[in-house]
Amino acid sequence: MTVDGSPLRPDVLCALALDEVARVRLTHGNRAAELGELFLVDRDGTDLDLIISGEMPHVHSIGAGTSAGRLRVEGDVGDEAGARMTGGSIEITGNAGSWAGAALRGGELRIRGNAGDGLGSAYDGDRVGMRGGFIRVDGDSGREIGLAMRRGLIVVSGDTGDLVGRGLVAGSIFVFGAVGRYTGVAMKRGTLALYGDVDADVSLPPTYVASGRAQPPFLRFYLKELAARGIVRAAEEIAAGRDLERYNGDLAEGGKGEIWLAGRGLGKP
Amino acid sequence: MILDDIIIDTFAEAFPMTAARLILTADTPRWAAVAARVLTGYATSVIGCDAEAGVERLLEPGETPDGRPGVSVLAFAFSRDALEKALVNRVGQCVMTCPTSACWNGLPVGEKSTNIGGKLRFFGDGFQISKRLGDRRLWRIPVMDGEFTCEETFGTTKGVAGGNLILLGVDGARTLAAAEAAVDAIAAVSDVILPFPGGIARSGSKVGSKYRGLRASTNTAYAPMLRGLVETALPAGVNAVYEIVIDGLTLAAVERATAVGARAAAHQPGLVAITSGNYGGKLGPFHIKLKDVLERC
Repeated sequence: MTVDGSPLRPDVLCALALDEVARVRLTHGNRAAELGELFLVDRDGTDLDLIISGEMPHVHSIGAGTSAGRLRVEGDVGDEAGARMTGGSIEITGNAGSWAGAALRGGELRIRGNAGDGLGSAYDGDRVGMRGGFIRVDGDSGREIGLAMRRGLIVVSGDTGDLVGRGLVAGSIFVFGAVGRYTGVAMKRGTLALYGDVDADVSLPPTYVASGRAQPPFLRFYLKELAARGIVRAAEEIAAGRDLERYNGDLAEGGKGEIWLAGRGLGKP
Repeated sequence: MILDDIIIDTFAEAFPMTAARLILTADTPRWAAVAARVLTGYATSVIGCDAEAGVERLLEPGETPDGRPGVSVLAFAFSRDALEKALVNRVGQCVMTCPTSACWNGLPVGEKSTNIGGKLRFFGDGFQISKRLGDRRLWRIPVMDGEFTCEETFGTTKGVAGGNLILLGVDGARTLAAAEAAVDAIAAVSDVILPFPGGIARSGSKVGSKYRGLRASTNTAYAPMLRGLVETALPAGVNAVYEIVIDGLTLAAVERATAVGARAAAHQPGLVAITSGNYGGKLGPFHIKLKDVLERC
């Protein structure tokens, strides 16, 4: 049975006494339950603000709306983890479901496992999605990441599905593995940096045009910053020192977006 | 002790100036050095230049924001507005034009900062791109070899300018050698620059002139050829004088450079005395006493 985990936020729970934490009400299926009924609540000497342990793929919206503090989830989580965060940091040691970090405004969300679809995306009906913050996935992610993103940074060390950066308004998405099809479709501005084995003919829409090869300083700057945060693939790319091929697009949306390909981009005219 | 024999018991009089640090990078050390050399050209003294600037040190790729070879440059002006105006012009004309270069902020950004990239971006004619990572905003301006990257905001600090050593020697060659030794030694001191050519000034100045409108004129007391015509500050046997002007981010850095330079010069043959220029303590709030800094630093 699903649990609405949205009250599980460091900025909310850490202000409460231990017995108050146990009495926080959660929605459990179609009824309410106290947090203490579903979780064992304890306080320890760790310097983290909040730690939640256990396999919880049925607990959704953990850390959603967090504005401050640090949360570590030791295990898998359900959908919408860290959605609408405005500050603080959340680390999930396992996998996350769909819409993790959706409509993010600030703060940092790290998923050590895999993420589902809609990572850092806009909610249906919203014109703009993520407006700030940093999402980092150590594993793979699903489709449609960064939908309508306006600002911020998403980094996926593994592979992603289709529609990466669809409708991007601005901001940056780095993918170090493979991507699916329709990458950057309807993108207005912003940057996709794709360091995996990506074939432009397969992954990019026909409304992108190649504009040359380079290794621009801003990408070096980003890679260095990401490597400093422990992202191994970024450090490997610095060592490789590869030129990337740049594509301008989506020409159907003005063409001020850019996709940088380190893989097989030369097949595109 | 050689130092005791030749150090004059006097002080350098230094002034507060607004300072910024620019990290210039390029694909090769050659082009990073070219960018720095051009950026710091015509920037010896605010008497006649819009800023005082110089190379602080060369940077290894591991020390720069984009992992390329770089050069750290310090620039000084009398106000933040004046510094911003000078740097926007200089970065725009001297760095943006330089092949493969990029320009990064090298000081913490606080309330007191200057906007450089944010003003140069308009050169992109609408095709400039902003990228923001953490607190740092970059402007990417398309140019003919790719793009010029410049940070929007550069931190500033209240630095100290006008520290100086004046070296008095028996002849031009040996005095210049002593000055070069001082410059070489000061190159290892961080947070300072020597804005004059090669770090050395031969046309030291005094305030004012017999001609109206001139703010400074030749330092007659230290010009050997004027002995007998004006009151001289030169001991017998001195036939050449060189001045090393030191600008730094902090008073401590200028003091350290003063001590290091004086020690390096003092052991050179043909040097008669080391002194410093001041205005009787009436103008600058920082008094760098030669004997004192040699004891402390």
